[in-house]
Amino acid sequence: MSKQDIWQGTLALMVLKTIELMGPQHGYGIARRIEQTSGHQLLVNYGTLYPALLKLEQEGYLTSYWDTSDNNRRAKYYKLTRTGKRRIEKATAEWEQATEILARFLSPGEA
Amino acid sequence: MVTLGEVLIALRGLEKSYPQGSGRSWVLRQIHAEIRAGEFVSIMGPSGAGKSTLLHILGMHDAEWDGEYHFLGTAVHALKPKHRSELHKAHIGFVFQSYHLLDDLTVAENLEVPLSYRDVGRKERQARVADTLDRFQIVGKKDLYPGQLSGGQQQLVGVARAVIANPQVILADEPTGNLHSEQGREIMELFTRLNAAGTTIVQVTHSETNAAYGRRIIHLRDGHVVQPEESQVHAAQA
Amino acid sequence: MFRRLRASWRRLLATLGGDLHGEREITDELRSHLDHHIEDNLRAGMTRDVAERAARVHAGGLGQTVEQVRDRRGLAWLDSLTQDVHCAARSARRRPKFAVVAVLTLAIGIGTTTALFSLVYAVLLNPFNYEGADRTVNLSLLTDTGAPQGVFLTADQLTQLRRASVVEDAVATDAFGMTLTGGDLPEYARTLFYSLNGPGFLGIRPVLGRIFTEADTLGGGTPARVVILSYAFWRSRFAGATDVVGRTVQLDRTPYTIIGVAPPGFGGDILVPLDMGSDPSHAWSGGMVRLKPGTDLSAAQSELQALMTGFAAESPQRFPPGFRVRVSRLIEGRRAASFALPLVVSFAAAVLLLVVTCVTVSVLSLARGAARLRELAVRQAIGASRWRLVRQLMAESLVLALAGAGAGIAFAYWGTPRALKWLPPNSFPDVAETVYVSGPVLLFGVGLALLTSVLSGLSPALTLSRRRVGGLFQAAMVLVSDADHGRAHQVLVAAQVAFTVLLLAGTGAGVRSLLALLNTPLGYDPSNVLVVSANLPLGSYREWAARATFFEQLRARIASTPQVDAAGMSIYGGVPPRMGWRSLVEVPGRTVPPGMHPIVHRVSPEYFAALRIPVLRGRVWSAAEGQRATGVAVVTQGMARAFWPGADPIGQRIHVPELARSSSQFVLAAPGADGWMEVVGVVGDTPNIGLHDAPAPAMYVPHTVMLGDGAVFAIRTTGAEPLALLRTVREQMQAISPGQAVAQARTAQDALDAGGWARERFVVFLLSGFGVLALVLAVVGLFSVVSFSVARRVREFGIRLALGARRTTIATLALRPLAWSIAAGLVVGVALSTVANALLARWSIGDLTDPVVLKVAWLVHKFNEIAAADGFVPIEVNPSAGD
Ligand SMILES: Nc1ncnc2c1ncn2[C@@H]1O[C@H](COP(=O)(O)OP(=O)(O)O)[C@@H](O)[C@H]1O
Ligand SMILES: [Mg+2]
Repeated sequence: MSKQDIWQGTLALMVLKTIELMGPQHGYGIARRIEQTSGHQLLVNYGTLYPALLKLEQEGYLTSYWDTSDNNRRAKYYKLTRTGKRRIEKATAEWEQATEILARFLSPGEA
Repeated sequence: MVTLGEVLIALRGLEKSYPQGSGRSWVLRQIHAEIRAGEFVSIMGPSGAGKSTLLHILGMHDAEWDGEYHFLGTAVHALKPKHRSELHKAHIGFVFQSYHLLDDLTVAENLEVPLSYRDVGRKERQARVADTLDRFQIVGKKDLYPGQLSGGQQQLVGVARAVIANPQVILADEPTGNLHSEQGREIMELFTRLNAAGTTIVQVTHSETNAAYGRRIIHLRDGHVVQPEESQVHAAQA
Repeated sequence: MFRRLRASWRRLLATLGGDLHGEREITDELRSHLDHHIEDNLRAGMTRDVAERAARVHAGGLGQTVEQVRDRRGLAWLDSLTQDVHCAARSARRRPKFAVVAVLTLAIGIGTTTALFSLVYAVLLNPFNYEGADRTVNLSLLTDTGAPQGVFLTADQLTQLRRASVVEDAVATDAFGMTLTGGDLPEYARTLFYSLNGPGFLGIRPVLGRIFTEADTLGGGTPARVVILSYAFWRSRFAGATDVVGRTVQLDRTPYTIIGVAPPGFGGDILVPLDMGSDPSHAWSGGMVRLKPGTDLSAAQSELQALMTGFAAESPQRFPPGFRVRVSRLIEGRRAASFALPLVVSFAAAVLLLVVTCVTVSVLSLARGAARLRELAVRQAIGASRWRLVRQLMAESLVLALAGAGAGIAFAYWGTPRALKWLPPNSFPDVAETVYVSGPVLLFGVGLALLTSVLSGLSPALTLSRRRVGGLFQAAMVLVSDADHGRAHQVLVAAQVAFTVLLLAGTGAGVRSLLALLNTPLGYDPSNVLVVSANLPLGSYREWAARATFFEQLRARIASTPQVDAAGMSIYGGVPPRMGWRSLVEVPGRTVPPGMHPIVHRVSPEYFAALRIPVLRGRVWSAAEGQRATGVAVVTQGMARAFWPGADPIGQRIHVPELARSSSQFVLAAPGADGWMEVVGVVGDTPNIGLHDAPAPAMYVPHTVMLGDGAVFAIRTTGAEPLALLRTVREQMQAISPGQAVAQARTAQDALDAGGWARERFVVFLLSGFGVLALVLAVVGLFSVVSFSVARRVREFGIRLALGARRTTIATLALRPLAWSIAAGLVVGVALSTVANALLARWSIGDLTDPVVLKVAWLVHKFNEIAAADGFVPIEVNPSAGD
């Protein structure tokens, strides 16, 4: 697995989770929210965000539609599908398991 | 993320029947079984016992049955057809008894089809097809049509097609049924290698020799799973 | 599934809009992202400059992202589309029989529909390739009784009209024949006269040379003697020679210089500048006006009404009292014309045929799908989603439809001009020049291909892609019937039967209406009659006596020709089914009801013998009476009945004011004519206002009463083929008057054809052709369905046969499932025919619900069933092996 892949994989989960928490959101809103949640340790630019959104849409986890945003601009909104919700559950479980395993390696003393 | 030994397939009270006259004729009855990830299992039993029926259910080609089927923790019996097809696409490779290659496509194209159904990009597709042709030593046949191949060669392509998308489990219905013993042995060795690399194998076979490649045998008789002793008793009676 | 469909649809639209990779959409999205960010920054107190820069830096490279997204989005679906199309082409090549049948079937549908569309397009949708044709209107006057009448203006009035505030430009036009000399025999040229601004007004872009403009004068307002050739005339008379420009031609014995050649679509043979002169007594039709952009018709109408009222004060004789100005778009005239409805009906029939072909291909694909279930099941087993299979199957029907469209359009391209040759000229205006497979028509054809691929492919695709994998690998399953499959088939067959019945009903109705037309008694004998018209050179024989003598000399000379039995003459109007024109009459002691305008036709006494119109009572005037222009008349039976019911028409007097004085410079009234006529005889009725209407009351008067500048000769041969005499007749005319051309020559039978017989025949021919094709397709469809169901039940039938069942029993068994479909199709077809009948009631065609028509349809379907039943025996049975 390359670094990019990890980032892509976790970004996808962050995106899905963000939309799950906030409801339908446009790209900018998602980016801001992720940056905020990460305490501004992450910087989300176009190049990482939009390919990821498109991929999620193509995989059927998200759907999109155009709408006007709060400040009256047209924006493309992304919405979670039912498959998307299931995907979050599964990915969350996997992620927890993986981090747990990794944690055992990183701090063997506690095991 | 699959850890070794996790339950891959779990069947509880699986039943299959066809309408017959005013009643129903049962093909599978109360099947309970568990197959763990990484296993190499053979299903054996006399003709008409329901082996193919069971394998097609496992392969999610057949949706009309009763009971419970869990695949990697997902309740298959509760899934909508669309999700079932996604699940099977993601994890299963199937080898048919009578090959079922697509007659209009060349060998290379036959191998490419499962990849394109999984939205693998064009370049990557070509790379993997070349790789697989190489691995199965059928590079020379890549532009031939199935009709131009012998039975053994067709089955080899069938197996190659089943593994090309790197499935977690391979279901094979009498993969060597139409092959002579040398070709059969090659395929069994291939399965063994795949199994060693982590792929779960479930095969239907009539041959004890082939079954010996696996680590466990599920005996099927008149639609029931039977214990080995029972099976032998039955065999002695027959 | 529908979500995916919608997404693809959106992507397809984006692609058609030139947004192949969703580039516009992603750019929009990123733009909106940036705007949101900038706004936030501004709100945080940054200056605009800083806010924009910060947002840009934060967001990263725009171009690169667009590229990345484009790769992901565009290529994935393009890639699998090419794959599907590639695969479809391959499968067509490997099963050529099915492909050929399907492509041919679709080619028939698309070809006929495209061909008829090209006709509809050229005749009704885009007939005027003039500049600003949509703003160009016909100006006419309505009399107080509502009868339309032309507008005639002097040169000065035209200038005023052109300056009116709603008017962009206006032209004066005229049209009549001129004689072109210089060839073997003098020739007649249909001449369109336009005021000098005409060619510019029409936006004629010459294919050779130039057009005439207001600069082409000889001084003093007299236009130069120049001529533009029409495209068709240039091709036929000058063999398309590229060096015609600059040549001199003789028109009515005056030299004119050819300055250019017009592109197709402007009609006539030649275009010549109209000499309006400065004499205020000369008036010319000033009917064509282009309004300024954005002018609405009612505004134009009221302004022009004011202008015309002013003109009427200057020249009251050309404006009827209490007239109203009517302004109507050019296209409206076209759409109201008699050829519009038959054309639209034929086009509708072609569309119906196209639908039948689509349904047929659906049925065929479905039946073929039975043989493909295994392949489709395998594809599902190795991971194809239903959506993906639908796409693959749709790609297949798209490939077939495109191939069909290619063949069909080629067929239309080749066939349309050839088919039109069957029509007498003028059945549809100017079609010879303008009907061809043009850009819009081609686009229409491609659109049809897309439509047919959906129509013919969607139902099989949805049916075949239904998930049913499991059972298919079990041997026993292969031949067992599949309910879904069966239902789709039944619906399609019913649809096919219904549309076929509808087409057949239309055909039957058309045939009956043609028969009715052919059975209408004509009242004269059209066989062996040559009809020749000759026009005087412009401005010649200006004296009544000289002109009368000249015409009589011509007639006598023709009558004396060997093989000629009788030769009659008439002024204008010619021979049935259209002749003379309606005139106002007064009858002493009676009030003629308003709107009762009988047809007045001016003829020589031999006319009745030449056409064999029976004299029922009294007599026809003598040759001597004719020479003297005696005030006598012969009326038709219909006129006698309408004007003097229960009284003897002979001896009655009738006044035709129109015949009292010359109404224009082209006609010469007999000296001392007062328009009073005495009825001396009664003749039989003949069609005179077209074939579709009963003859109007009519009266014949001596042609000498009011001579025109041309004459039409009706020449009965002693039995010789009329057109074979044409050369002799032309030579006879030459002998009397060197340079005298024949304007038009045809047989009386041709006149009947042109009057509607031929068009009616053509439409009926088309409809019957479509009906027969639809029938054949229905048989093909039923055949494939029957063979499909037989293939599924072959074992059962085999056993039954072995047990001694007869073949007819088996046939009944095989057909029973279809009987309901056929019955339902018939019922729906009859219902549709009733609806169509109501819609078509305006057209004078037969009744679509006529029991005879339906009986025919029913019989045909009986035949169909039998054909299908017989057809099932030779079907190969190929039970495929399962696991
Ligand atoms: N469509 C069907 N309708 C009725 N019975 C069927 C059908 N398909 C299979 N069977 C029956 O199911 C039983 C099991 O078949 P199968 O699974 O193919 O057996 P095996 O593969 O063990 O030889 C057989 O008795 C067969 O006759
Ligand atoms: Mg089997």
